[in-house]
Amino acid sequence: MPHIALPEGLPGIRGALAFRPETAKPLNELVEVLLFGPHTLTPGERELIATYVSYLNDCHFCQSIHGAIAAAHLDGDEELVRRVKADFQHANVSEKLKALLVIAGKVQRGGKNVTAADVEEARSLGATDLEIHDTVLIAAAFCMYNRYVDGLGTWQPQDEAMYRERGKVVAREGYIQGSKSYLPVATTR
Amino acid sequence: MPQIALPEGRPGIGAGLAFCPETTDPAREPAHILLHEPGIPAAAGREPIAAYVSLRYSACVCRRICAVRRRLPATEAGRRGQG
Repeated sequence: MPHIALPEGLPGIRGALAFRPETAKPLNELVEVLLFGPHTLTPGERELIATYVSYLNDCHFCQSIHGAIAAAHLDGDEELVRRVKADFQHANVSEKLKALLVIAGKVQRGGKNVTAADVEEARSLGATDLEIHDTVLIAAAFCMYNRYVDGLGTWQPQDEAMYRERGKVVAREGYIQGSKSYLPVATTR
Repeated sequence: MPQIALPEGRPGIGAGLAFCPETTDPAREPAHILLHEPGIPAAAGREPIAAYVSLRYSACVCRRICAVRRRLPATEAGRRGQG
């Protein structure tokens, strides 16, 4: 049960965003740029970074929904999503993404854990400065989103099918368009 | 020394925000709404929350900028603050 009176029937972050449309707008815009907008990393790769950080933060809603969005971007490969969370070094992803996941995991534990050697390793595997920047910002932003969702005690269903279906919608429409179904019209664009 | 080629001469998050214009506004706006816009408690009363969290993360720049804003009138702090 939520710690404050959030709108009913909206799981996870959707209830919190609908409660405060003013902050919902930039929070949705940030995740849209980081995970859905044009990028040299694929949406699937970026969603895997967000899923992994949410898994490390033990946020059920975020790791479930972003895992579902990642799978939707990756031809429904839910096993790959599970593998990345459990042991990404042995998952079927690029060596560059593995190096970026190392950086993301260190940001999750605290930004000062990221070393020059971690960044050099990613760079040697082809990561650009923008990809490194965005990996750090995805990891930092998801620590915020995860704590926002858990800190308010949001409703987090256990129904995998719900996440799977919603994941397909967000993978297709993105975060800003996808938010129009639950945010007041005036705060969406 | 920054891990990537961030713009020089900007401390802390200012350099990170300047590096990537697409994320600048959405990353900055929540802090502006939460810490600077009219609300209860007043802006000077909310900055200590941000300063306290930053202290627990040992984030020196964030802690100090919040501490400065707490002592300034809200409009002055909003003009000076870059975080």
